Amino acid sequence: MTAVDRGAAGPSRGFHGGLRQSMAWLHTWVGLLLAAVLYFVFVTGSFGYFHAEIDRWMRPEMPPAPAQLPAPEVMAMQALAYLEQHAPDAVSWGVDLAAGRHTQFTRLYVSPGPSGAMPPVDLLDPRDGTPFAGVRATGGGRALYEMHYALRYIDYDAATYLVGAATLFMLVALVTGVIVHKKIFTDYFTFRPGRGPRNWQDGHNVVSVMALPFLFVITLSGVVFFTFKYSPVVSWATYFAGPAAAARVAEDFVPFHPAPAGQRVPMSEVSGPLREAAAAWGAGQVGSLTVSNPGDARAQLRIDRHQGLLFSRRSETWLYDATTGQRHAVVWPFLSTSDAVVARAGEEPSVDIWFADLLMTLHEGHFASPLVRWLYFGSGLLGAAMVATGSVLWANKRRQRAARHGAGRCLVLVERLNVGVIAGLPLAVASYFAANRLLPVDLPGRADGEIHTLFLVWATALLHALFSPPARAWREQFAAVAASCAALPVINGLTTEKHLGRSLLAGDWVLAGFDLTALAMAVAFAAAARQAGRP
Amino acid sequence: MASRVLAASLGGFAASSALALGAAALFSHIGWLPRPQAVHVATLAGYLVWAGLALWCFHSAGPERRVWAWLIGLALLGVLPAMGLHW
Repeated sequence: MTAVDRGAAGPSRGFHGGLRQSMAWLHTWVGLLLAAVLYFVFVTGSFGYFHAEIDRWMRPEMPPAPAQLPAPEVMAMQALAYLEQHAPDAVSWGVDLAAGRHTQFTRLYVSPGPSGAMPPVDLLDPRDGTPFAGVRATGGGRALYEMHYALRYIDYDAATYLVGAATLFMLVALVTGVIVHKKIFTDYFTFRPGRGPRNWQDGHNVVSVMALPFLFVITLSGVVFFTFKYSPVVSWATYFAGPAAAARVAEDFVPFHPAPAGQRVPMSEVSGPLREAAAAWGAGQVGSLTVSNPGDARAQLRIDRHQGLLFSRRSETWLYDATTGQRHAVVWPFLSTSDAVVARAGEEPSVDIWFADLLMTLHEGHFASPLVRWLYFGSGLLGAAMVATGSVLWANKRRQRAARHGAGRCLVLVERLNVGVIAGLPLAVASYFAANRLLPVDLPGRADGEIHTLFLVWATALLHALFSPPARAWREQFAAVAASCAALPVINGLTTEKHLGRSLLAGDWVLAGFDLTALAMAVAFAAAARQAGRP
Repeated sequence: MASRVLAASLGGFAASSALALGAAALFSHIGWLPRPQAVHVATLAGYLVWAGLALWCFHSAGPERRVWAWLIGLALLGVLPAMGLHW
């Protein structure tokens, strides 16, 4: 008896019969409608947990991260001198300071000014401020990570709303999934191999329950990143509507992005504020600095904390007058609008900010040790597997009914889209990595070219699935993923000097780990192709 | 079916947002929470209330008009104190 059947046996008082039957109906449809978006979010987001390591593999010209780092003020002074030389009239300069795994080198960001001047290089050696020239342009792991909430080729706001809708669907699907499975732990330990469609139901139960705590936390915390965007009424009515709104903003918030005065004034030394922040927060806790209106009488220095600890108070920000070096506020930015970030002032976070910070830190997992990072990665893939098995289960159940009544076009379309989405995306990601090695190093727009490759391959996989019988398409696409993953270490060995043998001998576990993971994936997908080929 | 989907999505969003607005206005007015904190907490809680209302809309066996009556009632419960305290 399935979960749905059990629900039908209950008292008839829900929208679709008993409580569990109503919830099973809802679970099915909220799970299916945005399944492709959720699957994409889980797969790309899972790679995000290793974005620093993937960045390293995708920039083979870069040296390993330095073991010893200078003081934050030394790295900052080098970066600001470089920015002053190459982008003197910028609207703002941003510097991520090297601080271990998450940020291995000094990274620069510039909002260009009237001249449009930009520094030629955005990565500096934190030891002496030397720019890294001749490094291939790449989206790296960061592009995969960013796609899990901003998608690609569509407007940022539209993308985040779509992902937000998918997140709400996910939340509802999780709650209804627990309600549907009255005997959830019995179901969890029930796997009936060789029972055809039952395998998919059992597989769906196993992967869902195994990752359930992770999935709840990751879904709830995903909402917290865009709290005011997804639920804007309270903040809008309080701070942006009605005659009293402006007075409330002035009363509750501090100015965050000052308008430039238009008068040139030399900046004060930033070393004093950085030393002050480092002394207060501890070693390695100064994460980044931003200079708004550099060289202007209203220049402002903003220092943000590093996000590498579980209880990191990640949103704590110190603001300084960059012309005098005087601190004028400790703020907690929490409400973003289209053109400003507003923040609450105070030396300590309020409970709500502390809670939101904790959830966001849990979501991003920057604090995680390598073992915990692998658990995050595996749990993310289990989330993807949950969405995938659920979609296949939907199609299989309808295929059983169709054996009696005939298959409709919708079922045929879903069956084929399942193949293109579920097997096509890993193929596309493997192609993204291969493009990093195969595209010419000096190709203009190279980083975008890698991402175009990913989506072109995915589109090709979808077309292949649409025009092939599903059983054959599963087998062929899984085999293609296995071959692509197995090819990655080979292509790496042929196009760089950092092949697997050398990285293993050198004990370079970041590069070796990438190649070994690709080989493990190749074995897993080869097994899937073999399984899909069985009658 | 379309009415249930509409009730769960738009009706649930409107009712949960109105309740959150009312709660934020009330809590900050009587001094339980500073206004920015009340806005933040109510917004976070409102999202969960929305998910809960959406589940209830699909679970409720009552006729559509009863579902809508509850949602409108909840929205008024939130909006009326907010109107009195906010504007």
